[in-house]
Amino acid sequence: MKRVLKEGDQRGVSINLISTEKLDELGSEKIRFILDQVKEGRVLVLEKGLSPSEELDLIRITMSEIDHDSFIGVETPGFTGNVVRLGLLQRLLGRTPPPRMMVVGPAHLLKTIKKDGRTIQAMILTRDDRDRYEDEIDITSEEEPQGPPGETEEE
Amino acid sequence: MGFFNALMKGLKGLFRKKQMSIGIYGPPNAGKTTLANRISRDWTGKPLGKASEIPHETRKARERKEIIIKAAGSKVNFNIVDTPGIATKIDFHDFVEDHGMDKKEARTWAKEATEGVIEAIKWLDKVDGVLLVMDAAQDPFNQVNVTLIGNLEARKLPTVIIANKIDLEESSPATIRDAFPQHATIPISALSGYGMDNLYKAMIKYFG
Repeated sequence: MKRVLKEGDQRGVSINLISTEKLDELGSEKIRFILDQVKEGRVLVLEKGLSPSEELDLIRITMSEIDHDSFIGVETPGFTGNVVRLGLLQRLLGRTPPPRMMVVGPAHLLKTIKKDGRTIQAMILTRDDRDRYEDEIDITSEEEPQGPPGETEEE
Repeated sequence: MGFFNALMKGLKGLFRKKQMSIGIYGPPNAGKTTLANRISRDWTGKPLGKASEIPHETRKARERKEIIIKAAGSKVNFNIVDTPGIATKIDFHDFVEDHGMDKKEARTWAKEATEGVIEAIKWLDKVDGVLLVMDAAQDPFNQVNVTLIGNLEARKLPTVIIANKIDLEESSPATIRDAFPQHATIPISALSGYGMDNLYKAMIKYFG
């Protein structure tokens, strides 16, 4: 008889892809939903990532819920909109870059290996052997980086 | 100095707060407390807190008031707030395995560290500007840096990025500058004091 694989009876990690529509529906419950899922050991791929203030809320609430035995925090590799370089006119008009794709997972299972403005490399560690990296997520941004802004920093 | 510049400086002085509260922010082990101590020692002769290689050594925010910094022909009165390092995860096992703590001590340390992160986030509502400290020998695109930058920009808080630890051979302040070109980046070594004159000028310019 063919065995049906169910979440929880296997060695792997559940990866849930959450659409923009679902995230928008959640509204103010978004952070609670994400944390509940992550605390149950799931890795979430958010089609639309979190805003900077939502990311800070996620960190703050995560810190208040760390119990040092079953939950040590979150790993959140993602393309944050603010890294996208806006042109001078866009910035003068006060345009904020929209949140972009983000992965959120439990820190004991998900590890960011490399991240720059266009590529994120993360690995999912198996429950049985965290020293061996068995699964890998590689997200590459399709967006070309825009030119440098009109204003540059100075020393 | 021309008449216009003198007029602008005078007007700016009229509307300037008596004391600017500047938060020192960043991930753990970026050198925040070493920088806070350097600034405090340079202008008051006294350090602000204990710095160490153990992550989350600073688990409560520390404030030193009345630090009067003089640079570029101006002086500004600052309150400097050294905040706990912001992190997305804290595992007490790291303190046991990497720093030789016993389990009880490590659990307490980790618990205090989580509370410190929350306190640091709360301080964002009280500061007038931020020195965002990054380790110039590490990848600047870590989630804490990116999240902080996003929040500082959303709050329109004046921000100066500190590319710290440039005394290390593998440091690359240019990588930080390229990652966040919209902000002033000042390369320093808080440990040796290299670059502090430039930092004080930048503090007067962006926060004064």
